[in-house]
Amino acid sequence: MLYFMNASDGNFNSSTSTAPDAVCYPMSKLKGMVSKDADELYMYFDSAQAAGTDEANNTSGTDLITIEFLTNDAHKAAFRDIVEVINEPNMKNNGFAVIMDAANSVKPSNDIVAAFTILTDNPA
Amino acid sequence: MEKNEEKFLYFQEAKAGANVDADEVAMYPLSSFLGFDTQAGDTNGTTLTMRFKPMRRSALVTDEGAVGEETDAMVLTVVANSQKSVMASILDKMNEPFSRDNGFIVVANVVDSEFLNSNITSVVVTVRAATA
Repeated sequence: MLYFMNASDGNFNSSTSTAPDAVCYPMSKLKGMVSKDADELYMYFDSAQAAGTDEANNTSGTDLITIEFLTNDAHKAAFRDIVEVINEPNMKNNGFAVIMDAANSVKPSNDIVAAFTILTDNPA
Repeated sequence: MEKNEEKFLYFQEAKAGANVDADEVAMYPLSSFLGFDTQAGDTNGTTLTMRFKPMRRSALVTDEGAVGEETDAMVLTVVANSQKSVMASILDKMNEPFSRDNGFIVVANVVDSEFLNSNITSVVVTVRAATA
């Protein structure tokens, strides 16, 4: 499971339905990663809430994590650092890979910015 | 619950501007890999396409778009008629032990002139839009 928590105060109390404080996905739901611009990347997941069955609503069916890093064009390092966390031995994290946790200052590398965004797709 | 362990395939095309821009870098879990094909109409024999499940699209998309637009496509430029050896070397990497690469496989990185096989010379990254 891949864990993301972006509330630096540690409170799981977001009032926005499309931007929860924390999400956690099975690895198999990670669809891919792509550059957004010079210092940001997107991680796409199969949507946890909009699973593709709500055809009446125009949902995208994907959830999106946006991660920023300090060094322009350092995508390769950022991608590799995230993969390293994902592939940490199970004996180390029992399958619970903390990719980003702003409440506990956990991130894949020093070049990755602690603040990041979570955007989930919700059926209407 | 499944293990997290997964191999990832990394692609980076040439920069169009001064810095990396949107959709110039892409990385997919190996489980999203659909297969190789060679480009119909490529009379020079210098392309090899790696296709992946589209990361932005959901099952809701009913308009599949034009031919070939249902998948994300990493189009490798290769030395003429070297496709078989390129495919074999990519498969070798896919099947290597994790201890060799920690799951991070650079197939083609034009910016750093880093290629999995010396017969690969470039790549064009195409990530499909959320809808056709």
